[in-house]
Amino acid sequence: MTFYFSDTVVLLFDFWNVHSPTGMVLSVLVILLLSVLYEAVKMGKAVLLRRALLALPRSLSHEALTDPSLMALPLSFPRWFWFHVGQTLFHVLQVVLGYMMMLAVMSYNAWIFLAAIAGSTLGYFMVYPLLGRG
Amino acid sequence: MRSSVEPTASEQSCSVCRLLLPSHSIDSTAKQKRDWAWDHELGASGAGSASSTAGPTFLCAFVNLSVLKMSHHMNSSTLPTSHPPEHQHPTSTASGHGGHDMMMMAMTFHFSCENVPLLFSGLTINSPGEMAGAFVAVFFLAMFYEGLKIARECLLRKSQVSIRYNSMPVPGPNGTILMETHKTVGQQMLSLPHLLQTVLHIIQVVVSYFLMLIFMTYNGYLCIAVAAGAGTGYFFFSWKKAVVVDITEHCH
Repeated sequence: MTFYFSDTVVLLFDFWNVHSPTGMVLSVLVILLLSVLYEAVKMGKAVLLRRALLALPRSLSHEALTDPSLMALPLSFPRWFWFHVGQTLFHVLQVVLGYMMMLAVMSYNAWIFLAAIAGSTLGYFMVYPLLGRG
Repeated sequence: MRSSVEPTASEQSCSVCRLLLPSHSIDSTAKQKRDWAWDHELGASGAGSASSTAGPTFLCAFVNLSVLKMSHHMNSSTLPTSHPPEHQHPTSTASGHGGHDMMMMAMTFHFSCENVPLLFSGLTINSPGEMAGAFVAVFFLAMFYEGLKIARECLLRKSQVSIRYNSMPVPGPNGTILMETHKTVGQQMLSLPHLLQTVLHIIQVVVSYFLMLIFMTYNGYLCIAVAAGAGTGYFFFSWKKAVVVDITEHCH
């Protein structure tokens, strides 16, 4: 149960059984992509939250801004509500991907670990500028 | 089926016994995993984690201790008879496969309702009905976790807002004095909101580690329960977060 470099590993599912260098390269690529996707989903959630907040005051201005009870009822704002549904889906995806990455790294294969780290770095580097654009 | 294992002292000094290695390494594995998931949690929660630097190591030690205790309990409970350790080496390696299976965790995803250990040694799932109960319990635990995260954020905002309002009337017309009082009020360590935040933080860390350990069982049903609970909790609690954020942004 310490890190090791090897091209044999079993990842997450019993059919994902790697025992060749090419298979290892493919697995490393898949883990890298999953890691990039995790960062993208995280950023997508933030972007959706910003859009939802931008959508909220506009619809409020048509209603009575003074009534605080209206603010607590999201049912009258369908656009905002759909943003929220999207955010929820993103959140579930983020939770599942996060746990998957954790379990993959738990295989203690150093290649997989490096792939996860590199993917996270790459994903953050590529996706972060999107947040500013909103 | 059962491996005869001496309790703790001989276990740790015993270097030859192959059977015991899995349980020990599982403990270290669990610790590693916890650290990793902690990073993920930090990245995921983002805001509201200002006061969360000292927590993980302390709690990690705590959970680790309990896990160690748990595994020892499991070991000692599996075998009523205690043989001298020298005598038991051949027997445990010979009949050790069953015990090995019992102690060893699955390392890939599977859907089964039999013999699924759930956090504690007393909580072993053996029937579909029990699995359904565990599914519901885990679902609500994950929902509770999401609600707690949002509640902590709301409380933090509320306390910050009240601090700001408290500091408003105190200073005179000078603007620099206003900033000063605001800072001193904001950095109080022994205040009620901060203590409440700390207690809630402890609960949150414990629950998140529990959820992670549940996911670590690789049981498909329980993993689905965790994900579905997180999604449902986020759906039902997070709209409040957005509204609160919006209100505070109006106040700015």
